[in-house]
Amino acid sequence: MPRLDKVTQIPKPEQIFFFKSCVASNKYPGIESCGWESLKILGVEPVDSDEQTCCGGFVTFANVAAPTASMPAVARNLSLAEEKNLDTCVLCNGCWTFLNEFGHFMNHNEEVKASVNMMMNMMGREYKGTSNVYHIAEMFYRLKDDIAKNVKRPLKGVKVATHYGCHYLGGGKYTAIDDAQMPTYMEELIEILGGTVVPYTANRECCGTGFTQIINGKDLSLEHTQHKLDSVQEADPDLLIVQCPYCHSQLDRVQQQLNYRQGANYQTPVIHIAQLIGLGLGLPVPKLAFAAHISGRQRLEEVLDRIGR
Amino acid sequence: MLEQVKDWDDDFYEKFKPIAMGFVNEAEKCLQCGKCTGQCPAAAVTPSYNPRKIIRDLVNGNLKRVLSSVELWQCFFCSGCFSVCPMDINFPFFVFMFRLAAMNEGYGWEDVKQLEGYAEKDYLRKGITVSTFERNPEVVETIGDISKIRMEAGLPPERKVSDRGLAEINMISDLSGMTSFMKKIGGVELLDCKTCNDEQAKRCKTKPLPSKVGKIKTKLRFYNYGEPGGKAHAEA
Repeated sequence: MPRLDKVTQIPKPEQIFFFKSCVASNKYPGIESCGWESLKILGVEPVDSDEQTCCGGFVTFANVAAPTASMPAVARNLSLAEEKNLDTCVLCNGCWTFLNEFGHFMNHNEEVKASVNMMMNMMGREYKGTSNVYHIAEMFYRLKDDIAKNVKRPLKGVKVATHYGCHYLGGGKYTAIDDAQMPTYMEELIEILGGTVVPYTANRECCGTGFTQIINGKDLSLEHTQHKLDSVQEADPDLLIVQCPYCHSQLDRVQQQLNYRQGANYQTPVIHIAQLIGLGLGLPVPKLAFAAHISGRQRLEEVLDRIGR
Repeated sequence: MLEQVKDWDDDFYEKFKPIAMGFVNEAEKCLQCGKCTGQCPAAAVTPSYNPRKIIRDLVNGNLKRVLSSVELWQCFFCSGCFSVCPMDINFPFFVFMFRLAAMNEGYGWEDVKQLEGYAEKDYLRKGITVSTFERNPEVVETIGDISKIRMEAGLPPERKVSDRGLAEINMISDLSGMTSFMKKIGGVELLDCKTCNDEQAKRCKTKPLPSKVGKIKTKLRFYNYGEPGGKAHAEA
């Protein structure tokens, strides 16, 4: 059950700072365009900035950068939103947990904040700690009434399974809007759009990316993902919904890798929650950018045929 | 690894706390209940990986066993252990700080070397860590040109970070010592299927792990927490 007290704390702003994600920009552009367009339809105007870089989570957890290097990078990205006096909306669980945790750490350690600000002042910026960071799925859940009013393409008869992603629910044990072990808000959103939720056993398991394990611990990573994919295939959903582009890339690309190397046959389309909302709100098909998806392309086309293009 | 009496240090935890910049704390509260290990995705595939034992060794002061272990480098950073912990111990941060400490002792540089390229070539030069490069030729065949898909979706063909943004993150990197640290690590070549030649493709398939990193000789790591797992091991 979602924590309703947390949900009501999320504001319904007129404008929001749209924090772009690396994977969503370079691998699955549909996530970026759908997030942007659906927020607009729901009455929240997204604002972006060219100066926004990667959140720095990857290089930090790859141990290439120590926290001393990533703390100012987080402060710099958050200060872009503060300059505009807006809250931040992120597309990726990684960005969410990284900006939130390191922002929280700076806000509660005056010494760290002061030394970070020393560096920020050298580039003419200041970190105050006033911008809240919200995940786009949280925003959608907050705006669910507006979504219900604007459904143009109901997902009638489409079987949908969910994958939440560890860094939102696990890392945000106290800050996330839902329970870490039994989350349900994505299921609610799916039902609002008219889809059917399919449960499967490995729902709460990690996608297996393991931040860097997919690069230097491939055996562990692939084994874990295969376990997850087997469970998904057993439930046989039409779509697997994720809320993190990094999980998206892992679950989509590993299917192809396993088919290519081991002769398996995994064909489950994976799409991001922003794309699902975009689909329901009736965005034109090129905006959804399903051409960038690798696994289950045929099945995606079938779903589109069934619910109307 | 053979253990010696001098490897143990009663004050290790107290000494480590301030070095870890406030990321390692409350470990003394650990109940040793093992919930963290029970739900761990890494432990599911490698039975020897055990967060509970790592916390125990931290508090008891067996510094060497933690830092020289292979298991330290198998964490998935999923934060599942934190989400079930009754005492709210944030174990992923421990692993993160332990890895820095292990590198200080000369372990694990070969792992980090493989990741340095992403920081140097993508994060610092383009401002975006995950670039458009692909390592699987079938993926390139299936999706074709990503900039075309971006244009169809109504986005500019390439996401660009402004020059000011790039200059600022490079300045942060220089000032905070990240650049000099990266020079010490040295990087491996990142290959891209779209621009790769035959020789590179051949090397891509048989790429050995680097054993020496710049001037630093990496030390051998051990399975210090029991039998290694994994599918390959189960079959053998």
